[in-house]
Amino acid sequence: MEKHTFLARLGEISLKGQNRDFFEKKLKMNIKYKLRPYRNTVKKQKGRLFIEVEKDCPVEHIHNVLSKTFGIVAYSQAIRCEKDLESILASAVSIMDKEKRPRSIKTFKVESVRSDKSFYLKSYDISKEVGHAILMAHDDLKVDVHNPDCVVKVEIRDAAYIHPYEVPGQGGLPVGTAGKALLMLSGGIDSPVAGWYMAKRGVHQEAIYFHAYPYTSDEAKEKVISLAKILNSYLEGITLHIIPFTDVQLKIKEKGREEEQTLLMRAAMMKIAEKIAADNNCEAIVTGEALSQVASQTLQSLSFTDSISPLLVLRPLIGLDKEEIIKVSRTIGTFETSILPYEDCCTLFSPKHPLVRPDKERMYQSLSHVDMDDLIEQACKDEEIIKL
Amino acid sequence: MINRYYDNAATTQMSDGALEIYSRTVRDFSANPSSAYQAGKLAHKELERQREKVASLFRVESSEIFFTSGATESNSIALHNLLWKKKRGTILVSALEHPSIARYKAFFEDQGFTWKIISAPEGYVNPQQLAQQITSDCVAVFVLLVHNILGTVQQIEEISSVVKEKEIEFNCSIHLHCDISQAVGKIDFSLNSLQVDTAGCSAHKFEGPRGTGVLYVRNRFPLRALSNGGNQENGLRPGTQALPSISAMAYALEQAMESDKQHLKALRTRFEQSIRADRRITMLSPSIDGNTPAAPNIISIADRNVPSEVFTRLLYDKGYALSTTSACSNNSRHAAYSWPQQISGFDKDLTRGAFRLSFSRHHTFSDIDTLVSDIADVCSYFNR
Repeated sequence: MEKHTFLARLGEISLKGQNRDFFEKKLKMNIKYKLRPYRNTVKKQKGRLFIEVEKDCPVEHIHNVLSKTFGIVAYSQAIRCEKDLESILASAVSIMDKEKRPRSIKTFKVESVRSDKSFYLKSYDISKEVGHAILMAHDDLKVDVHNPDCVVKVEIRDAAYIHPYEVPGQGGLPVGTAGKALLMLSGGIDSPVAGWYMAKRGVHQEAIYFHAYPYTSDEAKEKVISLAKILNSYLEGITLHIIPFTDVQLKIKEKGREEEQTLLMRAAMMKIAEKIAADNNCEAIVTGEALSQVASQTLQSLSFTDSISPLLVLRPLIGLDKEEIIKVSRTIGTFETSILPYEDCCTLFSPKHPLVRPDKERMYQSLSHVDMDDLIEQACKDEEIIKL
Repeated sequence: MINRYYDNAATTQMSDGALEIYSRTVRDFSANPSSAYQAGKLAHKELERQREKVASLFRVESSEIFFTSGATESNSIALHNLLWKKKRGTILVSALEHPSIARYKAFFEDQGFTWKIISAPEGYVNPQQLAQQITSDCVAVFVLLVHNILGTVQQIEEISSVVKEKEIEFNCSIHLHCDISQAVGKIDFSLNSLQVDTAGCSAHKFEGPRGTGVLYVRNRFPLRALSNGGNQENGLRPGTQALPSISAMAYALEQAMESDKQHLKALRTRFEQSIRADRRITMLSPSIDGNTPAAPNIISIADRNVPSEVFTRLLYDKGYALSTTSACSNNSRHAAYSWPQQISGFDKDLTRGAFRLSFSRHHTFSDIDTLVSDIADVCSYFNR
């Protein structure tokens, strides 16, 4: 049966020592999981992954999977052919026929690797033969070994693989190799980016969203679901916990001091996140906070919210400017959804002058004065779970 | 069944009668009214019959009625006419105008005009204040008849005499245009007595079909077309006339003009009386029984403690259709209407909570009672 053949180059994983196998296995599983239901095989051979997918699978789908799977530095679609010079030359010429016009190729070079040392030609000779064949077939092309428009790669392994280009991948480490965390996902620009950064370092994530209907609209909730779906293309199945938050917010508004409202709300969110994380084996909480971006993200405010839970809180965006975050958000495809005009917090709960430098002790007193433990308990019980 | 549609100022459902006329005209007059053969002539005759009908309902001459795609196009034709003038003067636009006029500001300023807003405290343009604003370089005045959010009725006749006095004083001509979209079938008026140069409306606001409307142009008023390419509508609005829509509009107009306005007024009075008893709700629109003129069908109200889009969310859940007029930062880009900043006289909390209800003649007292009780329920939710 004919198959699509792809080669993936691994990055940081190759530097791993004794636990390299663990990372490679996880990466193989992640790729297989994402390519389902199409039949596929993922094999590891000398620093590369060979991915074969049944022909029914659209090539775009494979590109989509490989370009969004952490652990892959670059990948390419290859033609697999018999390990004899005639087949190799014919395949190389036909690849150039296809690639030349769309990529306006004027110069090229050939690079060969011979892992199978029993092959009768040496790498240099393979390159020479292939280059000659291409030049004979295309008299408008020239060889340029320094700055070619196209590098035709020939690899001799169990068979011959020829590929004319490499697509950059995400890099990073396979999702799941660093365990699982709970991402606090709002509808904004930052939190999906934070989730992406942690996924890049191998952290699988579930997400939590606080919904305060009717103060926030159902469109805001739909927006978060859409963001979770986009993020899911980098993960391996995301679970979204939607927490009904209205009663907690109303209690804070009723009993808390106005300027403390945002911080009390953040504290309540941390408490709920801690519970949901514990129930779902998440070892950390991930937030999109960036230092001093808003009042609740100053050193003093963060120090307070951080002290609410003993759980590790990861803040991958802490040192990034908004512009930098937006840039990543555009690249990973969440920006357009994040800027839809359904905001995650009603102005009714946003104090005009929120505390910037809260006093921790005083905040703890306020927290116990508002006394929302029962409401928090109830909110966790009433959560809505969406598995994507 | 309870009728929960309170967005009749946005659009209305086409009446059965209008739909009937529409289908009949599609069947009976299928030819192009500009064609020379028998069927074409019949269609042309029908078209002119409808024009006469519309003209007589508005109490103007049929040569003054032009069929367009609706008020937005009618307003645009009136505005664009100013570009043909050599003089680049001041255009005075009331603070109440619909975006179909208000959004032309930047365009006309680019073209060298001065665009000035006529203030409208609490939704009324004061003709005497307007008189002071008209300068010798004034080329046009745009004031609508009924405001789409507050329902306030402008004194167009007085505004018209003020403009005429100024024309004599400065020996110039000033184009007076009036958008009558929200007035048709809601208040009694005749276009003739308004004494404006041009006016426009859309059929779908009075149970006619979408995509059809009227541009009134006072006889001998020089107006040029916005688009070219055909001689229909005396060259003012090229394109084959949509005769079925026009006939349906003429029918709907007749029904609207002859409808019982007392019923609308009675609905409004009942609503006002009940809502006034609820201290949590504030009326932004003037009372229908007050000293200042108001259309009975449009009323804006607010719970000053709750942003309008939050308040209306619970009304939507109960099946209501209505528009928010406020633009809280929550979803300003998606608010159906944003509170016009130029309309002074209301505090910020009030405009932030404002939403609009627009009744139709088909509502019953029982509908109104249910509405009032549902609003009270929602108020209770937020004030628990």
